[in-house]
Amino acid sequence: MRTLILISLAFVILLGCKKKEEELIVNQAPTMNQELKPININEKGFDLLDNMQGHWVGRNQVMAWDFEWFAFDYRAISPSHTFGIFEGGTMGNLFTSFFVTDYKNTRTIMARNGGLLHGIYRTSYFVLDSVDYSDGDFYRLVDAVGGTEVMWMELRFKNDSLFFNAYTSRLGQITPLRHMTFKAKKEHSELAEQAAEKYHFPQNVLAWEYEERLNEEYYYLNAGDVKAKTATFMSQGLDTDVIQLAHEAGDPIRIDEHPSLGYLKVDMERNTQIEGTRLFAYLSYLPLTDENGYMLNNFQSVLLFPELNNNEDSFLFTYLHPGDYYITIIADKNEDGYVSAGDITHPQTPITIEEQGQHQISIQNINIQN
Amino acid sequence: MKKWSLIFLVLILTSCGQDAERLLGDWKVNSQYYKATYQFAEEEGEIIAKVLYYNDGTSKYHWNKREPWLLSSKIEQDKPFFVDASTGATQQISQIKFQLLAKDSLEMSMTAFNGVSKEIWTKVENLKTDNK
Repeated sequence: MRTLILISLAFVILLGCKKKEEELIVNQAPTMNQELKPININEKGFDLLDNMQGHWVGRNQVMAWDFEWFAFDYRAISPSHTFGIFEGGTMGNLFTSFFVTDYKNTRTIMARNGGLLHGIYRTSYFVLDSVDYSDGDFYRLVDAVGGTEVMWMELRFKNDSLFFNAYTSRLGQITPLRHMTFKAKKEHSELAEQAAEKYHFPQNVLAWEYEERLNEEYYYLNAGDVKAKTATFMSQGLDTDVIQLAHEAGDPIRIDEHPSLGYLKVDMERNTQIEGTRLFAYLSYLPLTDENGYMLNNFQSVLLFPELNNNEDSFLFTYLHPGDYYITIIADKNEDGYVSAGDITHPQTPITIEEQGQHQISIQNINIQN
Repeated sequence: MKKWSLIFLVLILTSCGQDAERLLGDWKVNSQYYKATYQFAEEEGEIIAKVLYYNDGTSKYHWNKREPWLLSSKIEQDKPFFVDASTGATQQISQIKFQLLAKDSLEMSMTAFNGVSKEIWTKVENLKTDNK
């Protein structure tokens, strides 16, 4: 929407003569004439890392999808890197992490955004190019190759609120549109504070030497392009391991190189009550059910909330912050798409994720109807 | 060019005059995600959609004639909808449709990224724009 506005704005400014036949060029692909100037965080903007920390809960519009309840759990994973992810379950996942690096001879912050959606591995890299403190704390990070002609994200922190918007262009094929609109409040900060203390976060030290790791030959190219429009790395394979996909994509920072983060494989036994039923696989810092399996009113503590299709009985959480969780499987028995009366759960099940741990748990008693 | 524009306007106003008149004016977006007020206006023989106010939480804008933001620079009627002809022309990007509902409301639907998002807009009294 905003981009449509910007399209027309550019049109009016650049083509002020308003010739009608020239209106048709407004949706052209990027010209790639933008000069990208990273913000030097020795001067301003370093506080983005600390601002980002915490359990942000709100609602999110992603393209045409409206998530009435949504959360990101941002915690430090090193002295200069904070990480948050949305685990969608069957659909895939989407993360954005923020870290200190050098780019174009400037000490700055970059974002690594991407995930695995329907077997397509993508990561894109953004660089901090705008900071403003006049109305809350505002930060903009733009595609590290194409700038705002390709895609960017904006974050504004004001009191306990976060506005986190992203604008994308199909990797440079069209003019950017608003892609994500996340409005949230900081629900909880203790987990982030614990991680910050553990890693002595935040520090203005290199998390990754991005440019040294970068091999531009792996930049994603749109069909017909000879020069990359975006700092994006992609690979594809429905049955391919995510680490293998990361190698194939030439991702400068791979999942297996991340400090701190672990994995959890959850196997769920489907009894006759929940055969063919959609499952929610929630990780929370408070129990969502009591010892008998009846729901508790602790859903504000949900950190990750994947949904699994009717025929799935296994799920792998990746990029998982170490710590203590409760894993709760909820069968959406009444098929309303929400956790509600009539859904089937199980007694509370705690689990601890170790630093860079690889864990597995089986949930076999999903038989308590609420 | 001006002649064609005039003919275009006449066509709109004669074939669907009442609807076009209902469309003209200021409209407030009812959205959980952003605030905006748009204005359908007739300029140089065509209907355009100006942005009077926009705030998505990170970006804000108030109408400014020197830096005009337009939601659409060319709106045509394609019964029962009004459509954004400037974006639809290339078939690259979103297609915006406006459908008049009750007297003071319309539905805006935008096709983008293989999905359709819809908004209800409510007509408000004409706001004074700052044409500085």
